[in-house]
This record gives sequence, structure tokens and C-alpha cells, in this order.
Amino acid sequence: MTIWQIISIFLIFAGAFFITVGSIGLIRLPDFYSRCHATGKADTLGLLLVISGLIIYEGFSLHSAKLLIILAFVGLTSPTATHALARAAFRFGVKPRFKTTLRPREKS
Amino acid sequence: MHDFFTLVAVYLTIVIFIPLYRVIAGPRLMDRMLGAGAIGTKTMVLILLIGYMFDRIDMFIDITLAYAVLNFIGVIAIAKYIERIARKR
Amino acid sequence: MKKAFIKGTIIQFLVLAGLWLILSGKFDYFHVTIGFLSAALVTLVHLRLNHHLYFRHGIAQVRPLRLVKMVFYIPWLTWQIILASLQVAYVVLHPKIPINPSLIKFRTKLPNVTAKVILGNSITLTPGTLTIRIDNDEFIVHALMDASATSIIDGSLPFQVAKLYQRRPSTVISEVKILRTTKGL
Repeated sequence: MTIWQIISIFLIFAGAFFITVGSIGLIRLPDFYSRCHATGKADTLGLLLVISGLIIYEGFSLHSAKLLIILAFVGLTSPTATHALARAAFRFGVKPRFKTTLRPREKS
Repeated sequence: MHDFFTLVAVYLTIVIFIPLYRVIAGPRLMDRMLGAGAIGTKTMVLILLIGYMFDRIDMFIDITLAYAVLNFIGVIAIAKYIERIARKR
Repeated sequence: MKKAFIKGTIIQFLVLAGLWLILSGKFDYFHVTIGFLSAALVTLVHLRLNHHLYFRHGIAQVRPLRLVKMVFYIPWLTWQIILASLQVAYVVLHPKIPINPSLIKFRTKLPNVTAKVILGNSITLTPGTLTIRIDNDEFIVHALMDASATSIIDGSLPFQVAKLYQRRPSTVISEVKILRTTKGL
């Protein structure tokens, strides 16, 4: 067990934690745009952390270069996909919920 | 290290059921698609971990790259479809 | 103008060729030749779209990206993503879900389309904000927590993006409005 393996285990654990947080946020948050926050940030960071942990585990090789490409691609496309869905919902007429319109005990 | 990857893979497989609830119960098409995108993200990590479990990472990395592209294109296609419906109304 | 177009095309060809080299993983004579040929072919097919991108908006729209600033921008953005995710984790794991959503509407004076893409993606990745809509110059942003705590109101995030293009940017955003109703959208 070298120091690099310990670092990569730590990064993968942190990534799994953030992925879990994104999933829980997807079912706990009340309206569509708030759920977009959960997937757009926490899920992206979780994926980036897991892949960087795998890069550190792999060391310097061709596979880590490929993993780096996946990292850059996900970092570019994940916010874009979230924005595309949010814009489509906005055009469709999904209204964001504010505190004043939030009734207690209302299910979404 | 193999055991660790197996552990994380099993954990992620359990976590996938949480956004699956949103896909099944989501009130609108957009909510369902958001859940599907989240499942796709977890699946990418899962494919990479399976590659490390089987020691065939050279093959599974390419699959992951293709899956990332497919996930992105799928979400964009659904978004375009919703926008077209919105423009017709 | 023409110079920027040629430079962009060459950069695109080099990126495609590098992508081929990494993805194929074979460095013998045959594979490298085929890779460079196919990269040239894709660049050729893409040439008209590139032309459209560079010549549609007139000369004033295109400003070269300063790559040196990008080196400082990416670690800053990474730090912002970590802060944003920690904030989402706090909100989600809190038993009462302390959110206070609002919409922020503002106008920017960023030089071109690429800058707006960078700004939109950065807004989505920084704490508490999510880009909803971009009409020419007008951004609509959804804020999860208290809106006045975000970095858009004081203009520091658009300032960072404008610094990628100009040495001393003037004020980039104006007409900031915070909406709490959906009337008039």
C-alpha cells in the first residue's frame, strides 16, 4: 500500500460521497430547478473526483491520458446538459417555486 | 485494491436505485430525464470500476468514453424535443 | 480577422490529431499517417462551419482567448466547484432543506459567443447558481440560497471571465434584477 494508493482511495471515497449527495438531493429537493442544482454540481464533482482517483492509481501511462480526456469531456458537457434541460423546462413553462409560493406539506 | 473496487461498485449499484425513484415517480418529463442523466453518470463510474475489476481497463475506457458521449447526446436530444413541443404551443 | 481564422483552423487540426494519437495508442508509421489524414479530412468538412463562426458577427466580435489566464482560471474554477458541492451537500443533508430560491436577471457586455458559453458553464458550476436562459445579452440565473450572497451580484464571476479576454475589463454586467415572482417572464 503506497502513499499514492491511499490518496486514490481517499479521492474515490470522496467521489462516492458526492455522488450519493447528488442522488439524495434529486429526491429531496422540492422543485425542478433545485434538483438541477443537485445533479449539475454534486454529481459532476463526484465523477471528477472518482476519475482523478483512478488517474492517480494508474500512474503515468496511456490509460491515464485517456482518463484525462474523459475528465475534460465530462467537465465540459455535464453543466451544458444541465443547462439544456433547464432552458427546455423554462421554455416549456415550468415555473420555479419561491418561498412565498411554497405551501407546507405540498408534494411535488 | 481489487476488493476495494468491488466494494465501491456494489455501493454505487445500490445508490443507482435512488435516482431511479425520481425516474419512476417524477411528475414531469424533465424530472425523469434529470434522473436518467444522473443514472448515466453513475453508470460511467461503474463501467470504469468493472474494467479495473476484470483487469481489462484498455477496453473498458473506450466503452466509458462512448457512453459519456451517448449520455450527453441523449439529454440534449430530449431537451431539443421538449423545446420543440414548447414552440408548437 | 483572416489571421484568427487560420489560427483557429490549425489549432483544431492539431487537437484532432492529438486526440487520434491518444485514443488509438499505436505510434507506428501506418497508424499515424492515417490519423493525420483523417484529422485533415474532418477539418476540411468543418471548414465552412468555422468560416461561418468567424465571419458572421463582424470584426469586433472576435477576440483571442488569452491562454495564460486560462492556467489560472481552471484551478480557481475547481475550487469553486468544490465549494458549490459542499454547499449542495449541506442543503441536502440538512433536515429542513434551508433553501430560498430566486431568479436573477442581468445583462452582460462580454465580447463574443465563446465568452458567454464559458460564463454560462461557470455560473452553473459556482456555488448556488444555475444558468437557465441566455438571450443575446440577457442572462436568467436561478439562485438556490440567498441571492445576495452569490458572486453575480457583485460581478466578480463575470469579471473573472472577462479577464480571460481583456487585460483591464470595464464593468461587464448591468441591470441586475432579483425576481421572486414569475410574472413578466
